[in-house]
Amino acid sequence: MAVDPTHVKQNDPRLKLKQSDVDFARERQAALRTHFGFSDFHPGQAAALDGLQHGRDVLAVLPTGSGKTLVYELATYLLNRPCLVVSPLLSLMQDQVGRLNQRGERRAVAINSMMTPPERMQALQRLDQFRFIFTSPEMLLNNDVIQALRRLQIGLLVIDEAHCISTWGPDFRPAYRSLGTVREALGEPLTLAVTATADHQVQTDIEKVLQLSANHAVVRQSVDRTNIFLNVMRFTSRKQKNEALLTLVESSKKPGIIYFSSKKQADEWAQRFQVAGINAASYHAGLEATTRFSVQQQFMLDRLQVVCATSAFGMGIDKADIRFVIHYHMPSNLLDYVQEIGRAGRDGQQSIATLLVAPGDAQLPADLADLQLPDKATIGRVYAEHQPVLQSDPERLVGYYKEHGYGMDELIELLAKRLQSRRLALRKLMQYIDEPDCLRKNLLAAFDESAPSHDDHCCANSATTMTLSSLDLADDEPRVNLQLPDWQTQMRQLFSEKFIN
Amino acid sequence: MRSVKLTPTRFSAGGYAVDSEFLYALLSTTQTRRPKVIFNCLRGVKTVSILYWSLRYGLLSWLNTVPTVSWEEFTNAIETLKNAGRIVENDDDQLLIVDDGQSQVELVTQLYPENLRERASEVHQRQLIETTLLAIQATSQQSYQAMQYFPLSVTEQARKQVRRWFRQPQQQPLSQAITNWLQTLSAADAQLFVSQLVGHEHPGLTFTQLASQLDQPEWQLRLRQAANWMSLVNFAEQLPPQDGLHALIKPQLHDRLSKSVRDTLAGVLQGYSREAISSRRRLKFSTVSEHLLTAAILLPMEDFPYQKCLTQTDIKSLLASEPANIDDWDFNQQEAVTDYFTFRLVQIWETKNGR
Repeated sequence: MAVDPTHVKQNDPRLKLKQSDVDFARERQAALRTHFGFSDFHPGQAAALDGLQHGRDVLAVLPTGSGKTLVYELATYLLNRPCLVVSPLLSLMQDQVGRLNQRGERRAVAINSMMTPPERMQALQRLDQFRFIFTSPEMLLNNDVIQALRRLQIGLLVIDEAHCISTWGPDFRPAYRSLGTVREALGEPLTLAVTATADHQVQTDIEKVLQLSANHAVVRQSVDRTNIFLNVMRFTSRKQKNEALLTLVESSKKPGIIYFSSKKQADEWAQRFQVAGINAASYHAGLEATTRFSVQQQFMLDRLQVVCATSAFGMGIDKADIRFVIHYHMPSNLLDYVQEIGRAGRDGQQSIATLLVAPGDAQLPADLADLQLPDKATIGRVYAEHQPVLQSDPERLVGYYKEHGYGMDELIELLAKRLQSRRLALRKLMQYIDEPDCLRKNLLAAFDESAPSHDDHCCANSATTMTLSSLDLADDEPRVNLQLPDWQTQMRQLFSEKFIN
Repeated sequence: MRSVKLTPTRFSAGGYAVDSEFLYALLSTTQTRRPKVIFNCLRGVKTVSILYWSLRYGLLSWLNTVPTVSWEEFTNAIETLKNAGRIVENDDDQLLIVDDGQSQVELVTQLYPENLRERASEVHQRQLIETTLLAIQATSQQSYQAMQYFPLSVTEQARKQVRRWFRQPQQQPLSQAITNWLQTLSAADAQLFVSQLVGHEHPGLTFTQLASQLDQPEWQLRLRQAANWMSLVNFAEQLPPQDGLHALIKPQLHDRLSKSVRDTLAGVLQGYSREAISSRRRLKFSTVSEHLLTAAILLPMEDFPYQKCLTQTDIKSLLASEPANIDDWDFNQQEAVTDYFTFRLVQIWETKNGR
């Protein structure tokens, strides 16, 4: 691309196209040291940055714990233009802004539904003061948001957790399907789509929806996390499963996360563990913001051994030494499962992912797969009415497709296909659970990858027994008797000596 | 002075505050009570109907004490009591205690004394808690010269208030003012309050964790903590205006009556009729009446000009024609002879006189 130097700022990304590969490498290495204090990149990070430095859109499929956030943060510093990050969850946005703040980067803001309209207007007016702007796909459907972002000339558009385009887009968060149009409205800025898990279908969906440039780079690292032992345990009754969970958690090296599909169960189990002398707390979207903050911070500060969570906990949790992830309830597909177990062992140390299965467990995800889609009556009603009232999620979903020019039959067909693919995804998960041989081989096959040869640190299917001690994952710490300090002691901890009489 | 940058979030409805035992304390063995009135009273809804019935139930002091309660949580508590056979629901969906269990009124009043909970209707509670917690976190981190930390997620409004507050010169350190206040509490209440604070290497404990460590049900801890917050408000209010804690908390307080209700009331005190106020203020006549009924319910008797709104004849004629129990009065029987405003105001007058 020919660039007139008199009209281009020194740091304009277009100038970088002229630089040699060696310059790029040197530049990102220096930025890594300056901004993060690291000297080496994790696998995949440098390749993703290299693509962006060459002005190419990048789809980066990097496993959890590989430092995806660093890629777009560093790219933003290198490009020296504002970065727009599309993020799926409010809590994730808060975490991301909080973490940037914690690192000393104050020019970060989250524009989301938690702002009142005047607050949002005010933030949009002073958008040029921010380097990192986080928002949701839904927020990008607002014209005033798009106009403000257009004025800003975004340097890098990041789609975080980009697999949501495929997994949530069609039938849960349709705004994800509009991201291509958004990208176009923003002048097709340099784009980075990042995710930890993307099989072939998900990759194709991301590329298609975002309309990535023809020469876009795909940086892919294996989803395999060799330091995570894969384990499936099958029980003959719910009671037996409950007893096993308590024993397993008591005897496992901590900290760990246990995933539940119900908030109530997460609460109940956290209490049960506490009674058993394990320092546990629950985390889900139904808790107050301050409670969620306390649980998260306690976990990060090693004050909490176990978090009983729903899927609300995890995306963005950056704790390196999580030793186990247990699924009390089954997830609905392998993609989610790989995402959630990937929170274990980010430090590279031996960890374990256990899936507990009792009779009837498959029914819940199967019901959810069917239930969450709009039925024909809802579709018919929304299409028949001139200005339908859209109150429920299914109604809003149908409303979205109607508004975007889909015919009723077309939508019915799309949803039928969607249901089919959900059922297929669940079947694949069931096959993983029933795997008679190597779990890792089964899991990786779903992502078109082959597994390393099976050994003692690989996996234990439901027919095999596993011992925690052989993995060095047995709990060896004495039980601590939790004593709540008096208020004076706590005040002295809160405020350093000179602040308190 | 360092600035604090934060991101806004929802102060989500927490739940868990309205346990069935707490709800039991708000019900009666003799008076049937509507669950919707109790629910909206706890949430701080100030329609005349909710306020009036809250007054009749003797629950007005609970107004706005649990603003985050959800209907689901509330109905779960009702179901628990019904299933245990402790309450019954009549055909009008009203609840009545039927068992002879121990009354919980004393317990909840001990946990959250009336003089403290009465303050709840004058406080933006969410804003109070968010600004105070954030100010304490920022001050705690500053005391350790920790410039980089994960800030508490609060609303944009709370964040701005704390930023402004942080830049102001302060007469005494916030930690000192809080310590002084804590010394006025029992050791147990002070411990509960401080255990939930967030700051340097002090992530705060959740109610569930505290319930287990202190061996007290979560709903009881929540009431105790709510009482603590109101006690802090009272303490801060007494401090000189230039004190940091006073400056932090003052913006979270508001008049129990809205400005519009105050203006209407001022009109009556100046001798204007409801019709005149309606025309001068360009308000519907019914709105003016609602303003006055609201003021009559929420203000102490001596602060409302009953003598300008009611005559002895109004009171006597209603007392003569209606049943002894005010809850059984029926406006439909009186429509021809009196208006709704007078009917309701007499009920309020009588209730406040102990009937």
